[in-house]
Amino acid sequence: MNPVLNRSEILFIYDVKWANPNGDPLDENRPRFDEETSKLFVTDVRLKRTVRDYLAERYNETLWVTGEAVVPEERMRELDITDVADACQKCIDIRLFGAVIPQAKKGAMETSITGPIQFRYGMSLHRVKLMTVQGTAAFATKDSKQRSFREDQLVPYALVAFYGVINQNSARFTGLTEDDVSKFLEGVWLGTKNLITRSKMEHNPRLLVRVIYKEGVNYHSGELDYLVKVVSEKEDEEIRDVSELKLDITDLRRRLDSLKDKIEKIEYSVDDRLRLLENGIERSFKEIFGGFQLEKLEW
Amino acid sequence: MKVLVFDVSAPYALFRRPYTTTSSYTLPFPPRTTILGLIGCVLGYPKPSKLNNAKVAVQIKGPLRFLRTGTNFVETKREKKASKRIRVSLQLLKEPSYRIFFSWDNEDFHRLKLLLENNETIFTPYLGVASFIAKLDYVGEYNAVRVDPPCEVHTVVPNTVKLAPEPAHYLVFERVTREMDEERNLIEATTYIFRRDLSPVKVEGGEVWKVEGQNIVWM
Repeated sequence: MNPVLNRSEILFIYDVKWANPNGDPLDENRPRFDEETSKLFVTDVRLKRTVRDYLAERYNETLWVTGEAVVPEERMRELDITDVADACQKCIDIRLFGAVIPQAKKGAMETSITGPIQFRYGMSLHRVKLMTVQGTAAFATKDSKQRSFREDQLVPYALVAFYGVINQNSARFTGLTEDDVSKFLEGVWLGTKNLITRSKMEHNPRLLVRVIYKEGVNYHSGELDYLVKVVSEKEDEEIRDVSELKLDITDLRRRLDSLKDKIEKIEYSVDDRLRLLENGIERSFKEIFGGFQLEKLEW
Repeated sequence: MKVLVFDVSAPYALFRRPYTTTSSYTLPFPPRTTILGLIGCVLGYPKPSKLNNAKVAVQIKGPLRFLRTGTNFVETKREKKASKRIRVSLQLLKEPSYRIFFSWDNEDFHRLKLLLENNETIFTPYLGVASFIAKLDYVGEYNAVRVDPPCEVHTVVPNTVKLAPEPAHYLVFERVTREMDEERNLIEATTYIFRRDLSPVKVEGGEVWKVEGQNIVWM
């Protein structure tokens, strides 16, 4: 088990089609939306849920946050957790994302574990159209012949970017290993692909980049999600498919170039259908980042 | 007195008001304890208590804008009859930006300067909630000199300082945490004041320091 020794940064881009990427429970479950910019956002917890569900299903990993409604004390008893170190050892999601674990007669400092992996809210890279689609409900109530109406809140298309940091210094506290991180990356990619509930159909991962810094480097660039932009001949709200846009990563390449002496390597995965632009020219990820040590993630 | 100056910003922030039980309302600026936590995070302190004697001032740079959104919280109290999830509304700050002034008589002060200069942080810095990863921009190290009021002050002002009465200006008063113990129990709270339009506040008395053309008052 190799502990995580390097700082790394993650940029994850996926798209959704005719789906609700992350409903707001206090807004009739409409997709979360920033009225000021017409951009859609997705909370970090949604992405973490995706990863957790994948890890539980594929690797049978024990989770602290299962998604079931359970009080923490009960969960502690179920898992027979004695202290924080024990909790980290048992639950992969605590090693990844941290947790709050109640312990009798302890202050907040002893009970909350900061996760080494932190994610910002995901944000759509373009303005998005919101839609309310109505349909008829499947069943009637009692004996009445009349059925009710159903309402779906969704977006026809959105390309969403998530930015995150893996902190090697925090990793020491939860015992995060490289093995955990590679499972996590797999969960980000395949977990997103495997979201096949009705409201989350047609989620497709498009680009995953993990910039790994050299050992001992306490630097991270920050805001990698701000360094990519969508270029399309269509109006933002009219985009309906990944083939109708290109992702301009000129600024990302420029930033990473300036950090070259700090970077050890770049792990990446890219979907065939996503076209990348650098300085207006369409090139592959491998061509654009040819100057770096690259490692393609394949599952 | 040597003062380190840096800017901090993020797409969103939430500095929770501790007295609301059902919804999370944000304060317009990070309390002193939050800033000490942020600096402790840059330095890699598991606990920020070492920083208790440091001096901090904060200037609100960007316009204050808010976004309201909903979230599900899990009920953590035992044997609750009703649903084990509660829906709460979160009030977030949108694209907040602050300038932090920091002075500290400690050997780690220089290490902090080196870290900020090189844009390095030991732990990942965030504003209020771990998902609001913050960006730090180092401005510089300056010598602070005392200024005699009356004068204008560019940072958030504690109410221990005497304000000059002015007509036709909205002042915002916020009572927030100034000091906590290691178990996050409140030790001291202070009221801080700023102008709603974020222009400088005029003061008649108190301890004011000048740092690179900006007048500051320690929180």
